[in-house]
Amino acid sequence: MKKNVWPILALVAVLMTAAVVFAREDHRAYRDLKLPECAECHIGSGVIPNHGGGWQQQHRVLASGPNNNCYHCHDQATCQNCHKGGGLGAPLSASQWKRDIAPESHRTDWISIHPIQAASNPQQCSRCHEPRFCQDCHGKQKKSELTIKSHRKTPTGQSYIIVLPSEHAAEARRNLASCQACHPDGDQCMPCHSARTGLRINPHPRDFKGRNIQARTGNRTCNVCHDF
Amino acid sequence: MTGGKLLFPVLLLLLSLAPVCALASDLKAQSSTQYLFYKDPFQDKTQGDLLQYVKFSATKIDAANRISAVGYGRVSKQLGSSGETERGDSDDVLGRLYFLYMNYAIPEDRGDIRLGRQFVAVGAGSGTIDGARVEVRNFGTVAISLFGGFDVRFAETSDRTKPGNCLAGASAGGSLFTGNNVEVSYLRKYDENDTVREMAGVHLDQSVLGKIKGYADLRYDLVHEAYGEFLAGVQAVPFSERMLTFTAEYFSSYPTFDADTIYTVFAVTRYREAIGRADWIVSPEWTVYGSYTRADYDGPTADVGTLGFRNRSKSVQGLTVSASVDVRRGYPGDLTGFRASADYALGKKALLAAGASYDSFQRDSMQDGFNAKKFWIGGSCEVRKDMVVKVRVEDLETRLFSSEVQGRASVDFSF
Repeated sequence: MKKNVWPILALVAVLMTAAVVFAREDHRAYRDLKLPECAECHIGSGVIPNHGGGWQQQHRVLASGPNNNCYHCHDQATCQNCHKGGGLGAPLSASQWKRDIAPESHRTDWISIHPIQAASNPQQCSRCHEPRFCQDCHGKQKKSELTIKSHRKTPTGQSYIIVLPSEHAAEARRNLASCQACHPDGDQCMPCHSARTGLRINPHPRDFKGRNIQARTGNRTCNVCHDF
Repeated sequence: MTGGKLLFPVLLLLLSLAPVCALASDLKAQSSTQYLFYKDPFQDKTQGDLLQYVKFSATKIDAANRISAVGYGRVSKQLGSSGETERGDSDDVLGRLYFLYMNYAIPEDRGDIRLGRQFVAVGAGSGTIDGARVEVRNFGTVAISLFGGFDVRFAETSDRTKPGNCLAGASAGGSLFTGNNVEVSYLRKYDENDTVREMAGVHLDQSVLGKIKGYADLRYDLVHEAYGEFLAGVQAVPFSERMLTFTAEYFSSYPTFDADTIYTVFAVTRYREAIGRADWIVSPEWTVYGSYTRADYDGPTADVGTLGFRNRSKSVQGLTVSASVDVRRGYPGDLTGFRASADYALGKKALLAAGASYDSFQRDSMQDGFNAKKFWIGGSCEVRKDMVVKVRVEDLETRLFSSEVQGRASVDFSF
């Protein structure tokens, strides 16, 4: 434990004792400029420009730093309007999802297209949505309307295609959050993956850190499948 | 906690800030009254909602102008709702408070102390809290941020904040030498008093001569002992007289879940992508950009390309046009998309805007592809100096509906 503490203390000490101040330009005076007008100052200024084409993906790293200067031009409404659907001052180009304003990343027919995006970077959805958000919609949708790989439509819902267990495993590992969208409690996993009954197929990864989960949640999570 | 029940604490917070605002000699506010209509995809009927947004800032509360208060929120009510909540939405009056906090600015721009509901973000994660945040900056090279409070969880129509749901975090960072930034951060999330997330973040970046910047950003999940996200990249501005930026990035993501859900115990695979991007601000009028992404899903792959531009017309004063093309091939589906929009400012008081989108896609679980289309038109007009009226209508062709008309009308005041 002590071995882990010293590098952290050393890093903090270096940060605290560093002597030179690199003040950033105060941009408050320029907050109403159009983005291309920034180029008039920034050409040859030695500052890497930002707010370009990939800004939606890029801004996270800059905005979460303690030295960020976003507040020179933006208030928290800028964050909340995009991340949480706020609509005060929404641009005319912005579409909507029911009463919320939708961000630009949500394309036409987002109900049908979003599974592609959700699979691409599973962490991306959770930057704005709680897991419960998926369940709110998927819980209302008729199960027979959904088109899901490794599932077969039935007149009343979906049935899992049991002849393709390997495909199920690969799909679930790649995008487990999509399973959670319709099966929030994981009840459908239990017949095969519980340690108490059924097939008892171990679902844990090879280097599973079960003790960490147990230490933080008591036996609340483990008790779903195990007896202690 | 439902949105309806949320109204009480919201009103309580507003009332508690009322004396503070009364002391403010500079009180600015914006209000937007909106009517939104849309087709509810679960009920196959057109629905309408009435919304009231308010945002305010109160400054010059004390003689030194160190204390300020800001707030932003909305109330909404669905009109003509059947009250059927199995597939429809609640017909309660729903509240959503985005932020409402008091801020104390430490003298000489040394930082801020904030109390109330606020958005917080550090390298290890982000969220909205009902609590406190202390930011200290401009002490030598170091900036420090500490925060903690109740974890506010917004759902589609409600706010599920519960006692025992808490969020706390800290970050420390600064410049070690010219052009350098280092940050370490920590975030802990509680659900019903159990720790369900524990993340550490590390960020490093270094600029060289203002032409090249290298950066790395890591989010490490301490519960699963695995890195949740890792980003490393290089940006280059090779020509001093051109705002042409090249970016190359590697990103890797390992999906981890809150420790109180059963999904936290399942094996998952890592997602990886490599990105090449170019952004060129050709002139104050022209901006062009393009990117290529190679995505790897631990086996299957995908190729994604984007190309786009923005132009502020020199010949037609007030006209701005933008367009982009996106092409994606591979797992878990193909997509070819096109978007274009234009807005035209009629003097300083009115704006007309219109656009079209086309997405041809086929998920790997779909038998056939589909072509989705969207057309929209909108406008805004400053009726008085403190009053703007906005209208927007769009028509969508989707897999669910051959014509899905939705839109909104708003009256905005600033005072």
